[in-house]
Amino acid sequence: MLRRFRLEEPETVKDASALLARYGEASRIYAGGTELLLAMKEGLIQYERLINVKKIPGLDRVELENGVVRIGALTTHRSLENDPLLRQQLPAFGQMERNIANVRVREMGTLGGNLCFAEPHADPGTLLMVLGAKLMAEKTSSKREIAAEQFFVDAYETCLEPDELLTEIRIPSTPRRAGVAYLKFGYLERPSVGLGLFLAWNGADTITEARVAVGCAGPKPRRVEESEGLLKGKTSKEASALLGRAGEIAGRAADAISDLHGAADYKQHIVGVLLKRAFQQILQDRSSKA
Amino acid sequence: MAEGTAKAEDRQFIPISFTLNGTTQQTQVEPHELLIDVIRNRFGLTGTKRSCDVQVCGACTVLVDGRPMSSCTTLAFEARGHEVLTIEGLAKNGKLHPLQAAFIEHGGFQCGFCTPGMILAAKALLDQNPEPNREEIIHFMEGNICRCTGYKKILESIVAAAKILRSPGR
Amino acid sequence: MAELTIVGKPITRVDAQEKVTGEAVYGYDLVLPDMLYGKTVFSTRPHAKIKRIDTGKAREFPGVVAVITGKDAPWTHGESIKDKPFLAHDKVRYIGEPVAAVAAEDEDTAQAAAALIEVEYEDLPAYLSPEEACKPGALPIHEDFAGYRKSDFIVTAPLPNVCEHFKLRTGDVERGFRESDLVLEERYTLPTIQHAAMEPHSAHAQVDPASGRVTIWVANDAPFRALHEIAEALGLPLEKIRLINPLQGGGFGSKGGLKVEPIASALAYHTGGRPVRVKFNRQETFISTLTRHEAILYIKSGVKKSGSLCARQMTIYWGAGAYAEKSPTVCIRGSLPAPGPYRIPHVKVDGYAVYTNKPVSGAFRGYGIPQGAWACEQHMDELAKRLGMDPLELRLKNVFVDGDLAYWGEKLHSVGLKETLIKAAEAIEWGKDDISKSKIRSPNLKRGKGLACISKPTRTPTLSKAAVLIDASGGVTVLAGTVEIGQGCSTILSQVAAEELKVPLEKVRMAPLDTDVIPFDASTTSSRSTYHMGNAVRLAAIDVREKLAEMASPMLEAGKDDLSFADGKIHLKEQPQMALPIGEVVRRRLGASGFLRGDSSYTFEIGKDLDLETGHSEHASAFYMYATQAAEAEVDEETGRVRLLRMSAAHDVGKAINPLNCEGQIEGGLAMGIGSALHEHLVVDETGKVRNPSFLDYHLATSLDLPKMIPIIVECPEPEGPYGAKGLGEPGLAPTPAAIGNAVANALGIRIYDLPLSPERVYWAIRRMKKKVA
Ligand SMILES: Cc1cc2nc3c(=O)[nH]c(=O)nc-3n(C[C@H](O)[C@H](O)[C@H](O)COP(=O)(O)OP(=O)(O)OC[C@H]3O[C@@H](n4cnc5c(N)ncnc54)[C@H](O)[C@@H]3O)c2cc1C
Ligand code: FES
Ligand code: FES
Repeated sequence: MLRRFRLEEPETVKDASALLARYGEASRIYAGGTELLLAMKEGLIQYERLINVKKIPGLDRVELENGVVRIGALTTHRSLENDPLLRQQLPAFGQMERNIANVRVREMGTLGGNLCFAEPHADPGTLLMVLGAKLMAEKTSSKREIAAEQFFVDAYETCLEPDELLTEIRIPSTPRRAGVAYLKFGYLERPSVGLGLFLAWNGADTITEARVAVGCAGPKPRRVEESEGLLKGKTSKEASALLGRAGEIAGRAADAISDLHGAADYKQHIVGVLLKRAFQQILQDRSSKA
Repeated sequence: MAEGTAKAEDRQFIPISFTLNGTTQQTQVEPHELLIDVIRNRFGLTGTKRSCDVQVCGACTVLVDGRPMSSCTTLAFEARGHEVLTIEGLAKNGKLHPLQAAFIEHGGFQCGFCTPGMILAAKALLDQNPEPNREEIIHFMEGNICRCTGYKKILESIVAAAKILRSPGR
Repeated sequence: MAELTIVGKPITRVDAQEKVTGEAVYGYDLVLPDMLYGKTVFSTRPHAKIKRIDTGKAREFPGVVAVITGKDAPWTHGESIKDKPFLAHDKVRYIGEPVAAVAAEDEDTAQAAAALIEVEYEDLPAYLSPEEACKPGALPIHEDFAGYRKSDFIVTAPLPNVCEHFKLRTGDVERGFRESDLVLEERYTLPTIQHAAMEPHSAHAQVDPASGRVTIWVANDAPFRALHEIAEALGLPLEKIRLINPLQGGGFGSKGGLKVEPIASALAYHTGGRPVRVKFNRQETFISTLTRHEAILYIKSGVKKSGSLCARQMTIYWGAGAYAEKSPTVCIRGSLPAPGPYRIPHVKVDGYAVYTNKPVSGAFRGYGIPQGAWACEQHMDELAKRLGMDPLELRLKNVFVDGDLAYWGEKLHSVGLKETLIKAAEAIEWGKDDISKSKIRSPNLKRGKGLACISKPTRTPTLSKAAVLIDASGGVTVLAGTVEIGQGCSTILSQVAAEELKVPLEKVRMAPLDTDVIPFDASTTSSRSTYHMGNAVRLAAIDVREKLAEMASPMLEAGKDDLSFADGKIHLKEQPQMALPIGEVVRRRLGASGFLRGDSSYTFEIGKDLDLETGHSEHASAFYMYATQAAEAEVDEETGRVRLLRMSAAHDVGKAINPLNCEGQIEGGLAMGIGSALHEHLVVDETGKVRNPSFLDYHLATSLDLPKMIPIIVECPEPEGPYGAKGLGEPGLAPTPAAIGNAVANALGIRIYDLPLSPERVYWAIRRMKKKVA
């Protein structure tokens, strides 16, 4: 059962931000509601006012501009899953979207809502980190750009200010000689461990850039620079041999906690397995493209 | 009367107009009312079931403009300006939809509690993808839980209905 | 037997139209005129004295009609031990126990008022493991146990918190072990799981102030048993209670006994005659209704080099939860065949049903058989491994065959077990492991095959009555107390009536289930209905057929024996064109609104009762269901994830009255069994709280989780059964986890003793073994 609340339906980001500023903690942005309404039905959180942002035009587009894919925060998982531009530019992202939740949650749930709720058992944040994504935040008086790495503060906590909205996710197109993989492992409804990997090579098969991020296992997704450092500058073959160590480091960095999804040490181990498999998948994709 | 955090004098009513099973409906809803409750209690259409209440099982599936939604976690005002289809609106003039007929023919249900949601989800799938392969069916239907059948006959029902829906002359 | 026209055919369901159009009204959908809405307050402590309940604020809340606590409901109930209060009396014994209830004008009001009720507790030590709770020195969870009203078959033990001790004594196990070439002892466990029927629980109740008559609308799987239990508790004569059964959205055992009924009926005494509805949501259903017994099983066997079983000893602890519910009978009927469907000369079983401070356990599809099978059938594979024998061969050598004297003293007949073993094994190409293994694409994937078999008794003796009516339009109405839970009984029973009267199926109608109108039936449980009610409906149809023939004989100017039935008509055997529609016969004799009625009553006579000291019985069961399932699994050694490639399930059903329906039962059971093998676990933490009372965290098998399923129907006819039928509702999930466990062990060379086979558990088992090897 939901308790009574009022609904506001602003038509601009500025108005939405002003409403947030005015009503403070008693109000909250409402997008697809798939997280928010669940928590409110459970009685875990309550608001006097929900601010429906779906009447604000223009926040549900996917566009390519100067090599950057711009995704409106209100785009639903379902439209991202089926988006032709995304499929072509960022296939790993489309694939990740296809495997989020079930079709009904994907129809209602938005990418922005997923990120802003910062539920630890979620996929996109982890992948966005290795894709080098920037999140655009906006309020009445200002706009700013936040690197995906900086966005998550803790479980259910982001760096957004109380009157700030997330408006857009900007993802640079993946370079030609690069590969991306996102793998998740789960046992319950939501993912237990997620791992994103980005690798770029030069013409001589040396890894020029490696980005590793882990999610779900701990309170928030995070990059693992130490593992990245191990892989960078190596040939594929050398890197392959170092995957065990890179995985171990990433596992420890995941800050895994023990919960219904499994014990911390098991999740740590899974991080390592996923890293190895993500690496193999990227190599495979590369050789099948070649 | 729920003791919400919003004050009683603040009660807000949102006038909405939407199509329910082909008929235009005008009504007022409060912001916190859920679509499932409005469908069941106000319109008396109890074919839409509540089971998990957390968007996992799909018993409460309705189609909004053809898209499957968990009505247990959808606010009623969201129906505004849209076409809502519940299981009661699927048969036309007493003639069963091919999916309904196929579920009967192939034993796609037992207790029947998941069935309205299952059939509507399958309709959404076939409307979008008339010739899904097995993997596509499973992936789409994965969010509809059936505790009785073991899914095999449900999948067979969907495959059979898809064939009928694709047949020329329909 | 005359040729069958409709029995044995894959007829589509008779309740199909309403279910695919959304017209079907389930208990959860029912709205009664002038109805009030109930809400329950649940205990938040696993074991505590109730110091004080303050209902003042709730009573004053606008729109509230009644607020009640245990003081307003001084009654207790239970299947065989009357230990459970309608609402907690002086103490609570699990988190989720109903403590107070509110009735109000609408649902939101009831909920808001319920939240205002304050309960003060004084905590007591809680027992969360059945093995701990019955250790000498443990404090009693039920201090007044000795004084409870109980059935006379209850056997207690000189151990704390044991509400039933089942004993089976055959031969001398010590001697058997001495005579064995190999003795093996193991321990297996299964966690608590839940039925999770898609429709949560609800009940509506109304008390007529003038007559004091109580009417309850509830999707109960045994309306007459519920009626008796409520009448006994309230101290009312049976005719003062009426149960009306709306449609049921699945049950699997969870909707028998009394769950929401006591709360609704207690509230109904305080509403001035208005009906009240009490609905549980999913979370409440998880914590407060019913679970499947967690169990700890010790099994020790002695076997000859040749593979012949000499002796088997088992000690089983069944976690009853806070109240006895059906634990005593689960303990008896689950412990008795736990040593498996094998010829064993020396057998000793001790089953203990033990109270704990956890949610209540009770009937769950399979009634104790899945627990026994998890231990016994994996243990058989461990024996086979040590003997160097093929597991199939070891079973074929020892399984029951016709004429065997089972270790509980019964001479067996119609045993289709061997056929199920052979067919299930063949269906997954048993023995051809090389082909399957060569298909593996990755070195971290390991494949294996396993199988498991069971026999399952049905509750015996039990009574089913039925009536069949023929009206002047030729319509046939069946009055049968079997509940349509989804299993398809309305279709099966309609087929039986149509077969005996030779009318088209469309002419047959099942009367709605109302205890005021419908003749008595014991229950829709224990896979008993096709056999018992099938027989009863058949006999009632024959009864009415005889009466009809008598009536028609002067009309057709022929002797009764010269008449025959076909296509809804009665005709002369020799001159089929000389015929009268059956409705016409009724009309001519009884008028246009007349009808003819046939009645029947069926029980399987057992002679002597079960001997409580030895567990022996000449007829422990009216019939036995036999089944074998076989699995091919692929295990990812790096993650521990088990993926099923295919599973066959061969079930001896006696005679498939409706093969489509039989397949449905097998496939549904298999899916549930797979879920219980790989996923399901109702996690109760160290504070006694259920950690995953939601489908978000209690994972039910989805279409993604299931392998290729191969249902196989074996027909080894039961002479007493209708057309040879036995039963099928339960066994579908019983051997499944053991078959999968055996496939996993075959793939990895590792035995896993505890369920579920979650990736994490399997992974650690692999790690431990690799460490040992290294
Ligand atoms: C059954 C189920 C399964 C799921 N499985 C997965 C899974 O496998 N993987 C996965 O990644 N996720 C999963 N999810 C989470 C799902 O992706 C999110 O529920 C969804 O994306 C949230 O989007 P929403 O629009 O519904 O958010 P809402 O519920 O509307 O909002 C969520 C939060 O974000 C805030 N918010 C929303 N939009 C903005 C904005 N633009 N600016 C500022 N704040 C905003 C809201 O105030 C609220 O606090 C699952 C959810 C469910 C219910
Ligand atoms: S009731 Fe809505 S998804 Fe289960
Ligand atoms: S038919 Fe009962 S849940 Fe699907």
